[in-house]
Amino acid sequence: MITNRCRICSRVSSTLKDFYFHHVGGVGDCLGTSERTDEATDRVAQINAIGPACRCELVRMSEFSPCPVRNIERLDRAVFNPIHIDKQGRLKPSLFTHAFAKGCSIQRGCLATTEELVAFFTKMLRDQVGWTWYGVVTASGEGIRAITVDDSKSRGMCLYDTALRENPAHAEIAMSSTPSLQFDEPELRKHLTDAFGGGKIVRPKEYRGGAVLDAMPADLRSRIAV
Amino acid sequence: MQRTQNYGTATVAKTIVCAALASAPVHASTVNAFEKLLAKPSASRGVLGATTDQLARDNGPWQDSATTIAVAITDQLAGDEAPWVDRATTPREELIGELRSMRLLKADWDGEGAVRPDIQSIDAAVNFVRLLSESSLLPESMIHASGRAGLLWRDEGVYADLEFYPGKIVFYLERGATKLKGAIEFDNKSMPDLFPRLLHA
Repeated sequence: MITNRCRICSRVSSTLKDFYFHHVGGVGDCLGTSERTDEATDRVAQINAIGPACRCELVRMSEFSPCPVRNIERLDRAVFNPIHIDKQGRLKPSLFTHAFAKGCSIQRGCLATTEELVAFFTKMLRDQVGWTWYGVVTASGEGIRAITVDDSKSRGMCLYDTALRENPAHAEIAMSSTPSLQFDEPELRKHLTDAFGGGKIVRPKEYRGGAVLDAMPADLRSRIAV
Repeated sequence: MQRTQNYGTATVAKTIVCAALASAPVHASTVNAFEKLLAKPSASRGVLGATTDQLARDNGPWQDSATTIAVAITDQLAGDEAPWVDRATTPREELIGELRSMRLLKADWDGEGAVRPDIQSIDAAVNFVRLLSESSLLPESMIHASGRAGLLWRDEGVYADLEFYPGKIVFYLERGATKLKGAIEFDNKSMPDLFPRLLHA
């Protein structure tokens, strides 16, 4: 149901919104900036410069995205061992550090197909010898948007629909322009961990009812922590 | 746990290597070489000499220390019947080893464009761990996408996330209802006054 609602999100509507915010509402070229800064180490700062206070959330950030990320959406971030896991099998908050500079990649649950997810996990495991796929952590769009700094009302994190041609469900978490000092980052990592279920890891056999696990290539099965 | 008695070659080498790893730069090839060496209980001066030669052929910042370690082992083994201290690697030494191993990561080590590890940051984290008192809770190690090292406490009612910047530590700490965050200078030599009370250090 959510998938259908998400997919029918009107591109016409998004285009009209883009036009309005570009030319009337004062938001800069969010989509263009997103595309230009794909590999930039200061991508988040550049997007904040063009759309401060998460204003780029209001428009599409990729031509491959059907619509901006909505509050009701389920968002997943992949977890791999050993880099994201401590000795007791708990999530390390460093999983979210990309949110402060390049953008922290997540998958939109309502858009991602099993095939796309299999392709994603397969690529990661083939590229990173010695890793195992440990699971995913899950948050809602609303939960991430509710993150604030210093218990203030200022948003701490933004959500952008940065879809890729080969991964249309791709999105990003990025620090908003509000936390301007470095010492907000450790606090935001804690809040992000809390938003992602307190770091509760959904194991591959539970993730999407095991559909992704079942479709993974046989030669990678030994590198999946079921 | 600590015992003193005579031990064979492998134990001697292991003790020295453990001590060396906690204090010197190290490279994966060095570790591999010693692991192979330790698999041979009857390791002789000849084997050790070969290891030294192999290490000397490597080019890298680890070369001097690795060679020194190997020579030290060779020399130590030359003395017979010397008493050696045998003990398990302590959790603190393991933690320092974890942090030091992060130096070996290359750019894009997370497959998402992470920055190459910042050696100064890692060294600062190692020095911080060394300055923790014996009674303190030990943290988990972290490496951030920024390349900086971090330490994390989240047990016994404490949550603390420390990230090591040049000359300072940026931190967020929760203990009960207390929440603290900020940046504090760190000279690698003395524990900042703030932390001992908050981390049971």
